[in-house]
Amino acid sequence: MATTTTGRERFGRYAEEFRWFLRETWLGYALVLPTTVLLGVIVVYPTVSGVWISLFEQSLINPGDAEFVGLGNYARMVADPTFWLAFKNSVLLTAVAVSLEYLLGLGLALALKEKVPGIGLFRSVSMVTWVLPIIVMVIIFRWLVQPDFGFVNIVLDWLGLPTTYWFGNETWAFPLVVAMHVWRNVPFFAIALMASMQSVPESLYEAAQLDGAGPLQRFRYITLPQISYVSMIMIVLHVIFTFNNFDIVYLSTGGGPVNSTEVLATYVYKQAFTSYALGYAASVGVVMLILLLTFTAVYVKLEET
Amino acid sequence: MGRIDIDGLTKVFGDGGDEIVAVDELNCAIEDGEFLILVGPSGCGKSTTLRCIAGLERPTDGKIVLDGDDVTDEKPKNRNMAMVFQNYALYPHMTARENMAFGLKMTTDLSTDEIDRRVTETAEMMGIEELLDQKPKELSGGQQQRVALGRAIVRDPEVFLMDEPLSNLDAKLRTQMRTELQSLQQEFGVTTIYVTHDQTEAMTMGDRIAVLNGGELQQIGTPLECYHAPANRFVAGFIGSPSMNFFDVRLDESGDSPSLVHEAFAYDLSDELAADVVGRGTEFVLGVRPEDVRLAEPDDENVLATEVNVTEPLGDVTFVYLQIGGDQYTASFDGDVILDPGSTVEVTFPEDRVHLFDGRTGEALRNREPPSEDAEARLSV
Repeated sequence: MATTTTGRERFGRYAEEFRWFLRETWLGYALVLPTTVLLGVIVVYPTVSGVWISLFEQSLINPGDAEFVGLGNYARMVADPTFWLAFKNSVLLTAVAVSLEYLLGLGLALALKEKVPGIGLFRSVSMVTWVLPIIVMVIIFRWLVQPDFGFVNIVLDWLGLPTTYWFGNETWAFPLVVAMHVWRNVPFFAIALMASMQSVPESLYEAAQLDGAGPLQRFRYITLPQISYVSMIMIVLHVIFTFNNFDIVYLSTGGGPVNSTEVLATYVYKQAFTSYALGYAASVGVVMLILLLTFTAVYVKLEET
Repeated sequence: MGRIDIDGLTKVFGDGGDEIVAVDELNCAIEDGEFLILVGPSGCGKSTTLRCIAGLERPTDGKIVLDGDDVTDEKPKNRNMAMVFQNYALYPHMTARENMAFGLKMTTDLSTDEIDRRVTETAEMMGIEELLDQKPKELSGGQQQRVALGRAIVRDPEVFLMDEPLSNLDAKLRTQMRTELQSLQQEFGVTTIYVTHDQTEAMTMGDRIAVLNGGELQQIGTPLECYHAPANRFVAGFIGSPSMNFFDVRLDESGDSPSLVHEAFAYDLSDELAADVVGRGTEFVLGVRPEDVRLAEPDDENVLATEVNVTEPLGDVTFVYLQIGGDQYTASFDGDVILDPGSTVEVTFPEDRVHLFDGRTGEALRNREPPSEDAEARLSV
């Protein structure tokens, strides 16, 4: 039997649908509201305000007296050699440290994955550098390179090589900063990559073995592609951490000697709290933000393809 | 060529106190081009045997010989075998085409074009050419299965190893793939070793079946040999569905003629049957397949009155569950026979259809008469 639908009935159905949609939607908005407000207060407001301040010439001593200079701060930055030095150091530090961390972490992950006696203890111990507070780590490194009683210098002296306070050496301070980053973060890379490797089904390796792939080929064609997602997350995170890192550099060298370890994070701090140039510091911060956003967007896009 | 000799294969897992013997002194010869099924319950050592042949496990003892060469300590890639895994083990980050090409890329120095041509050719044969550019997660279970098979076939190996390849498919697809696998195997004539716990697959697919239990080979023979002339009680119970009925009986020689006494009945033995059991102890197991249980006719001997518990009419046949003594047994009658639960029927076990097993060792002492004359020679125990 055919059924007829009157316009009124049809409309009634749509009205019902619409009311349901509104009800569900408003409930949804209500549920995400607290988080949205919180994010707005602690993320959006400071970011927007940072971008806003970067358009003014403003002193920390007298913050009320701000003068709008447009992109003046940015123009000044382009002509500032210390900015370019800090920029170069930040990029170099991030590129070298994260590359080394990934490669050494991968190696350590492969070692930790092996089922040999005592590996449980070794796994736990290997995490120590990562859980150590940064100030403790920096003090240990500073002691190691002390001129008179530092272990590094004792060994160098014994070998008949020159000794000095290496954090005070223009050539060696930067490599030491890189070394601290690497020393600290390798275990975290290793644990994350190992966890990712352990989730690769054993049967894939067995299939590859029957397909004639040797150990290196299994690593190249099975392990690496299977850990690429975790690798991406770890690399993006550490690029951000390292590029933004302030405490390791500030506590060990303070950006010296002669700006040789100055990075953007320490430069921003010095501009804001030593030179009281709030607007200029904010504009450097905005540049850092843009660089990191661009890097992350490009990497995530590459990983997807 | 793909002849495999397995010689005293033993695999022990674990060490010290809790050793598990997965495979125990297995001997078996697989002819070139043969389709051999390894079948048995879970933990019987069938997969371990297959993995030892593949080179994924190192045998504790014994040898694996391929075409006269001892390959026991060879790496898997030097054995020229291809394996299909239960979960397919397709490389998730590669397309179906790359999955199939991987083995050729690793083991041969063929040009990319030639590899691609072979992959496409195999894919066309398997009916998966339109799936070649998809990744495994975009494929259904059946399609993944085909890609996994294609990956094995394209390498043109000497031996196919298959580890329960159909067990993750739904029932309909399983039946379809079963026939397809058989025809593929016949087409290529490649030696195939196929592991399954499904006795239907075992019966229907292979040239021969090797039945394993507890790591030991119970019997190796054609499906019908294993069905009609099982070497022991285990094989008799494992092969065939519904499985064989077993009655624990005791030999009684006090009367005029010897008989086998069960708690619910006594089975008088003819001279022929008696010859197989007299002098071999007193404890035996009488076995009869459900389809060999017959409704008694007026002048039958050894008639037994039983109660019908449950009936399962399947149309062509009806499974009837009978209460005999304290246990329930199965009979399979013609679909025309209608029996009501609770009613009493008289059944008989025809003498030419019964199996007798040693009560202690389970060894077969007598098997049913072979179904046809030319099979007779092969079926004698």
